[in-house]
Amino acid sequence: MDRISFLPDDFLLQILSLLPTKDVLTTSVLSKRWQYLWKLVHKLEYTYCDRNADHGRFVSFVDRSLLLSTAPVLESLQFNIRRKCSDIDIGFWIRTAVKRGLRELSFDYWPHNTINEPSKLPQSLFTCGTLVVLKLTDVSLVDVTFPVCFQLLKTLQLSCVIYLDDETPQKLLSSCKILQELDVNRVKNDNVTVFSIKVPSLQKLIFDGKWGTHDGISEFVMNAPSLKFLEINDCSNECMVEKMPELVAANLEAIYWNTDNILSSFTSVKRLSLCLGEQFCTCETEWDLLMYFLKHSPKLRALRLNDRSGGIFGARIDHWDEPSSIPESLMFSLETFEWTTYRGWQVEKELATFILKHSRRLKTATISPQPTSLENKHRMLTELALLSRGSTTCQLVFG
Amino acid sequence: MSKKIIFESSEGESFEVDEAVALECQTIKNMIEDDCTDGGIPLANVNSATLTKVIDYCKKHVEAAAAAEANAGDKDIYGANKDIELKTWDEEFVKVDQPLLFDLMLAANFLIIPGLLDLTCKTMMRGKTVLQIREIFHIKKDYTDAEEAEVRKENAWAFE
Repeated sequence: MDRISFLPDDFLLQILSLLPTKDVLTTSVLSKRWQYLWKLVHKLEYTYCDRNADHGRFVSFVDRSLLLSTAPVLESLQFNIRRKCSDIDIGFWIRTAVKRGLRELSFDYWPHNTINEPSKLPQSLFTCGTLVVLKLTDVSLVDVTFPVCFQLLKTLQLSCVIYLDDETPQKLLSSCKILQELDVNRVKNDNVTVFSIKVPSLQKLIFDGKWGTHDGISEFVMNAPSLKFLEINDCSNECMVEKMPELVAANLEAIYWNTDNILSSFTSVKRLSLCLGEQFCTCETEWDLLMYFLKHSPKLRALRLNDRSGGIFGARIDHWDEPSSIPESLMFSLETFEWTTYRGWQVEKELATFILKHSRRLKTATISPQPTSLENKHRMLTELALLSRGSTTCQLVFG
Repeated sequence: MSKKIIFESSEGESFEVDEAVALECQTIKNMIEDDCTDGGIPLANVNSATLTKVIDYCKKHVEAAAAAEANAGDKDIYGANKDIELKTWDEEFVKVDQPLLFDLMLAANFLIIPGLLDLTCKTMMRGKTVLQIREIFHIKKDYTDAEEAEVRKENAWAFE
């Protein structure tokens, strides 16, 4: 029995809205029941990656499916394009969608094998008050006229975006009054010297600024007092971070020349992942920095250390003096400890000894060695297994 | 000991589940809040096989949420490890025959389990050709050949 065709329109539209638009269109030949349903689907998703596809056909496919769509509100428009399209076509598609009360735009346009100028999107996108989610890749905001209007925007992604100057990100963000999630991935020469994120409502921030410079200089300024999740991958010269009393989790992979003010902003963190490959700060050593975090984050439950740069971590010292007082976080809160690039050096062993000995609440310690000989691994494991543990229930996982 | 809720399938079979598991269904949640679940909840349009799967799904998702809560460290800062495991579980979960998948989708819609509804809807038609869809769902072509040719011609830009 054909059960699916008996489902009400709303139900079928829900199923169709989860398919790429091209597949949705093909359902029109199934039977008369399906002939016009595709026009009511409120999500449109276009993929254009095939090198052999005919360009004219793709353009007219998007044109027609957008123009013939009769859904009362266009919930979502997604582009995943890897081939060259003209700004005129792109502008037409976005203008058409914006007029239909668009709520979500994902513009992922990154043509392969061509030197691509970042796309310039129509001004009407930036005054589209219905948008809730906006994701832009390889776009130029140089010609955007401010003020813009994003009063409903909750999620914003700016990937490889070119700005006019320092003020562009500031003006853009200040118009997002209820923004909760921000994902910034900077690109080289994006015309910004000081990247400033000041969003009182922001709860989650992912900031990748390691490629973003302007004349070789970059600074990062952040004021987001409601932030709960933070991920930074950056090597700016300076950074200025205001307090984040609600912060729950942070993942830091950053090199700053001056970090004195950043350190005191992490006091409420429960989960912390640190990549301390190069000099993160003006502290004497990375160990001091780690101790600082342990001392000033009394709620810390999970700590993860890694060193993707491969070998500089701890290399500047060969001996480490245990601090005179034991950090509160070790005694009362740390439950999970993970170290992904352990080499078994004397100084590393001293740190592992310290953490295992004083973490009274520790449930698991997972220590993964860097690739090395079986013999070395065996030696490290034997050494670690013999270390005394402050928590009787602590399980040591090696490998 | 947590409170139990009793479901009754269309065949009259009883299923006892923890209240926390039943709360995954918005429809049941409303009933529990209105205090009208005593003596069991008859689900006249959900058969035993489907109900078993639905309960499996709810149980797994309740457990995953509890585990994530308890082990703050068993995941990256957004809880991503757990998510990957759960996602793999979900993918395996919907590898069932088409009639059961369809029943699961209807049950998820009726009981209002958004995650399961989305999962089943997504799996329903994705990656299948028109011919496969016709065959799987027994959709009878009520176009004449001429009519079908006309539809194809009209939407020719989509059929390349």
